[in-house]
Amino acid sequence: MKKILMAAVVLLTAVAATGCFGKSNENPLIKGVIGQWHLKSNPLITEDTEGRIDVYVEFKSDNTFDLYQKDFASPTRYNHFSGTYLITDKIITGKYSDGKSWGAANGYEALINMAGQLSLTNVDLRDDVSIYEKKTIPADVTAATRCEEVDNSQVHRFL
Amino acid sequence: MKKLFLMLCLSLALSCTKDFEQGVAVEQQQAAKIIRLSDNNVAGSVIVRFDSEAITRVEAGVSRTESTRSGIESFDSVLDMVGAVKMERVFVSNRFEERLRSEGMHCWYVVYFDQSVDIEKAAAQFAEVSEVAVVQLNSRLDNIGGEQSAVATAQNYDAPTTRAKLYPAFNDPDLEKQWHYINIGDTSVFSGVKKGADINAGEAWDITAGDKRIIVAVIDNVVKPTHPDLAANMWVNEAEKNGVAGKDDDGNGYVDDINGVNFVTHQVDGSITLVENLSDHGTHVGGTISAVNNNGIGGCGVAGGTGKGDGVRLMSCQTFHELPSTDPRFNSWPTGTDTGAARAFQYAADNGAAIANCSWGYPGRYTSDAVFTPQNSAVRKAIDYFTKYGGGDVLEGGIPIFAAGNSKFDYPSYPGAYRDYISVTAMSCDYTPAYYTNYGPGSTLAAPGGDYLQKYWTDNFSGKDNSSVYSTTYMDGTTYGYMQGTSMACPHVSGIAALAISHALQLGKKLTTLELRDILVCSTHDIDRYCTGSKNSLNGNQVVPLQLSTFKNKMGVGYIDAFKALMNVEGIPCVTIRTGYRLSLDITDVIGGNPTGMTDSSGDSTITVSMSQADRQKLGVEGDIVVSKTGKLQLKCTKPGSAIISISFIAGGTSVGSNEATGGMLITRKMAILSRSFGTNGGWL
Repeated sequence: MKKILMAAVVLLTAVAATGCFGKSNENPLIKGVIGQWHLKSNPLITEDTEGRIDVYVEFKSDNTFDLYQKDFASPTRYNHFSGTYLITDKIITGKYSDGKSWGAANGYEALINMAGQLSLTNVDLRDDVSIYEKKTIPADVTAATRCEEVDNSQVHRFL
Repeated sequence: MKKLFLMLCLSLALSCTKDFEQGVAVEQQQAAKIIRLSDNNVAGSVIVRFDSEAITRVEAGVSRTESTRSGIESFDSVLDMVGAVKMERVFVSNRFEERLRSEGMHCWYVVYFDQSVDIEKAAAQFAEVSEVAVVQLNSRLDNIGGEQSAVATAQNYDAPTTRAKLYPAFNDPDLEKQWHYINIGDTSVFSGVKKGADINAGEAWDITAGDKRIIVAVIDNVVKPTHPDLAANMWVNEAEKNGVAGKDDDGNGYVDDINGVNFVTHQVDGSITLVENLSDHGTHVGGTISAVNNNGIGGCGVAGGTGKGDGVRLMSCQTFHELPSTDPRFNSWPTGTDTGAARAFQYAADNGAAIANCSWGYPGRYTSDAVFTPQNSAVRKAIDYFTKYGGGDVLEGGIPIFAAGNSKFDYPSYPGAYRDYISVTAMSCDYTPAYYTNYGPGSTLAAPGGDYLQKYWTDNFSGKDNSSVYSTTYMDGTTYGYMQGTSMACPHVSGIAALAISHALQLGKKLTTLELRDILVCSTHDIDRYCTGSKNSLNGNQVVPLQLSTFKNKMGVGYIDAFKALMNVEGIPCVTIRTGYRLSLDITDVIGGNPTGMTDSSGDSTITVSMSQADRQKLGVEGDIVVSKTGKLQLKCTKPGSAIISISFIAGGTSVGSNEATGGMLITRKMAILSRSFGTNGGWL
């Protein structure tokens, strides 16, 4: 009897651990964000800046990311950043490979809408909403990058 | 009866007073018509501007060939009185006649007369003619670089041997002597040399070294067109080169002008040839702008290309003719004159030049812009014409760049001192002001001009020329040499202007002259920090200490950087701000120079910053946007977004030049603000 009871406990624990009973508890965002994304909108993207601010990001399944962003200091080259990210519930946080945190210190609230777009809203600054669309990062973007990171204190070029 | 007598007397007295007053008024009116841009004027010549109503009669009476008749009786009487030998239009062009007329440039005439006639008296006579609006004395121009500062030396001067290859992409052996482009701190230049006291050419050349579509007019003495290091970069007027000798094939008003025009000896219907004699100054200036790069000989030019035929083109507008002092023409009109300079600017515009390098100015002191108006000066009128119609296919308008002068005066020479023009002061190889340079209100920015005294008196009287500027020359049989002066500083800026246009063309942009001017002015570094201590100068033949603090805040906004200019071409400056955090930006990064020098008498910054109310609300800007006395822009945005702000400041003085006093130019620079939670490393996430 004791063995049977023990077996039942083990079974229930295993069921609980694996999310049994036909309902998974895996965060759908974890799989949902994986892929290559292209920035479609953000308050910074206006008529003046369109084409000057261009961002691609790839979230990988090993919790690393690659970021390619148009460098304001150069109209022809992209800067490449990399690092790691973590998804907890609906919040995505991350660090760059140099150990620095993302600008959104408490992360972005992530949401994948019905159109398949990824929305990232700065938790601390709700006006800072970026909408990304799934898009393969063009080879010329990755080819034309430079890996050095820009100094945010520098004055860049615009337009 | 007594009353009647008194009334009569009073009436007579009033009448006399009125006549006297009217006479005085007329004299004042006539005197006001006479314009003197210099104390040194050409004998036997004046420039006149007829009023717009009279010009029709004048044109009916004057032919384009030699004439001593104007068709206006009173004017013709004066012509007879002064022994006139010729009267002709200052500005001519068959191709652009309509444009000249629309600008009123057909109203300007030059009159040549007996050289023994007192020009002041002659001018007064011409001014009495009611149809004459202006009488301008035909000023002699100073070819800046003469006397104590011009020190051309032989080509075989001992070359410094300790320097590493400065710019491996170019194989010009004498680049090693050109510290003014790339200064690596070699003490053979001067024991006190400072690394980096240059125009930062190497970094700029990584981006562009020129574009053959750009034409730079060198308004100077001749640029030797056959010089082996210049020939490939000379502008060529193909229509004249392939045309009929003795014929104005392209209808620009000049005959056989293949590489330019000799405006010294030129007579409108006479023959034109480039004269090569003692033509060191123009050839030196031309070489600094565009000696052919990477051709295995000599030195480099700032915009001399990469050796693939891509250097900017040099148009020789010869307005000076260096004559030995024993030459009887030395004191007569064939040397540099207003007439020649005015024609040169018009020619440069009509034939596609984008930049006019003007290493010259008027001798004598003028302390305001009042005399230098387009109504008063044929040269000013011509510069306006160049600014409007120059540029060819590469720039919207032309840009003139002037030397400040070498007289150690605390004011720069006109025309460069005029508020809208760039006037270049001279810096030595250790960032200090050159001992000879003019400075003060109206000086826009500094560039390397060399300082041989510094080397000579400090380093045991040896190798003085190493600290001067090395370039092509044509003097006493030499082909390269050293010279110093604001004349040498000026073409560095012209070369950088050409590089800026080149890079804009690379990016598919066509700049306007105002954009280019602002780019140049904002591409500088602080020079005032080096204005401490003393250095050697000359007072006559005596060596005297020169206190460098004298120059503080008076050398213009700073010394120019070619690479910075190219960065400024790429777009308006853009600053990323972390939303919610206060930005404290060193304004030097945006407008160059030394903002602490841009203060008023009470020490407050004269730099103003403005942002529209809509943008302020959009970005949630808190408080005022101000620039501190130390040049820090303080700004805090509470919302993400982008906006443009305008930064205004005065370059070259504490007030804008005016008819009351010489001063600087008002520059307004835009800057983009990007407010967002960027990573501290600039990353988007």
